[in-house]
Amino acid sequence: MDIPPVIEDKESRNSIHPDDRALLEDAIARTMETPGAIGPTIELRHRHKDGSWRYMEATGKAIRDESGQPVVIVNMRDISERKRAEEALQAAHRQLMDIIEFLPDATFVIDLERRVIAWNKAIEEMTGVKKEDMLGKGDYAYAVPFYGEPRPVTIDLVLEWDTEGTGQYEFVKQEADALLAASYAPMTYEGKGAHLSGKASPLFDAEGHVVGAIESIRDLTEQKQTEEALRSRERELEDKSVNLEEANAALKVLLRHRDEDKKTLESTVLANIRQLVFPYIEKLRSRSLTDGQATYLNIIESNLNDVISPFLRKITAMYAHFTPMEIQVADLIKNGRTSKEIGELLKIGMGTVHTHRNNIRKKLGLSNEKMNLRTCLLSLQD
Amino acid sequence: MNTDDDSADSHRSKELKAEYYRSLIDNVSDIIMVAGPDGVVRYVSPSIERSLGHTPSDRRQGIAQ
Repeated sequence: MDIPPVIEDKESRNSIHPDDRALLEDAIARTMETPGAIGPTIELRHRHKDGSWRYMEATGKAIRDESGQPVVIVNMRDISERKRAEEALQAAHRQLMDIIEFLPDATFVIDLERRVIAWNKAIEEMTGVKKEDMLGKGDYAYAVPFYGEPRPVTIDLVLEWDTEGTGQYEFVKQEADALLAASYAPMTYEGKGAHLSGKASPLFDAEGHVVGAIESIRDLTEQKQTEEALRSRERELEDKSVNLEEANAALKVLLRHRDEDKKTLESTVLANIRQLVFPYIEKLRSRSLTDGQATYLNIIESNLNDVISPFLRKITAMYAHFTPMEIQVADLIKNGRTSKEIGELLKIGMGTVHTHRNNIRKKLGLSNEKMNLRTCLLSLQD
Repeated sequence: MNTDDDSADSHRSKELKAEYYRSLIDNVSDIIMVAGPDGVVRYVSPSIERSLGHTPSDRRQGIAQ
């Protein structure tokens, strides 16, 4: 070698990062193999005088120096800044991807070519399709795990509004840039299917150009089931309340019947005692009785009166069965008015007054002519 | 470029040309290096100072003159 090496081999090697030395040696060897052609471009770390490592980009070409010796002419530039920016960008990108990855909502992102560039954990769970099998796929592949066929979905409507496409959704709502749509996806959850709502928004670059779109999908099945349960509960309650109303009406009728039956029974007992028992007591009394017999007879009569007295009190309610005219007539009789006076007061004929009297007697169970109507009415007063 | 001037003129012209190319190399921002097949660096341009802090003379670099 005519030209002595000006740098100690050791020193030269030490200025290259140990991990990058093999790469450099390989690049030099390959460059030497093809004289005259530009060799591979490599990135390597070179030590700065201050001791730090700088990223360098280097490429070389094998030529011959003026003495005909083969040498490599190397063109190297500092790319540390670019590297740092790239790493910062990658870190930011990774961070964004991590955020998307762990979003609780099933989420995916597509680029302008409609290729999937993010497919998070929640959507893996919803569809059963792993991100490895979805990333980079286009041609509406992302619709298959939902609907069983490749077709435009909400996220596509964001990039390209298609009024026909909106027909397959239960509803589509526009909120600024975003689109909200709901539909049933039969293929989700291993074919169990789910009611889903998807919200899709376009993604913009720094200049405001659309560069892709993101869609987050929420499972509405539980909400729908709750709503359905509430509705059926409501229907059940309605049915029950109708049943209760019917039962209530039936009970009311029964109670009224019972009441009427009781009244009928009471008035029958009352009437029977008055018509079939008291007349005979009167007849007995008119016979010549011994003192003892007369006493017994009085006791019988008094006891019988005791028996029927609760009915008598109740019978006041029987005024309810009276017509307004009958109530007026009964009132006047009680006050000791004669039929003639009643007729004049109420401006009705004597015949009519008699008809009312008879009706009142009938209603009170006083068919027996001998019973005085006024006495009876007075006895009802308490 | 190739003229049939007399040798003195030719020599002078070659020197000027070399000077011209050297100044080109010295002033590019990229680092230009010449390495032997053994990987030993024989020349490195002054721009190394800006990128890596070393001066060519620090490392006694440069083609021997």
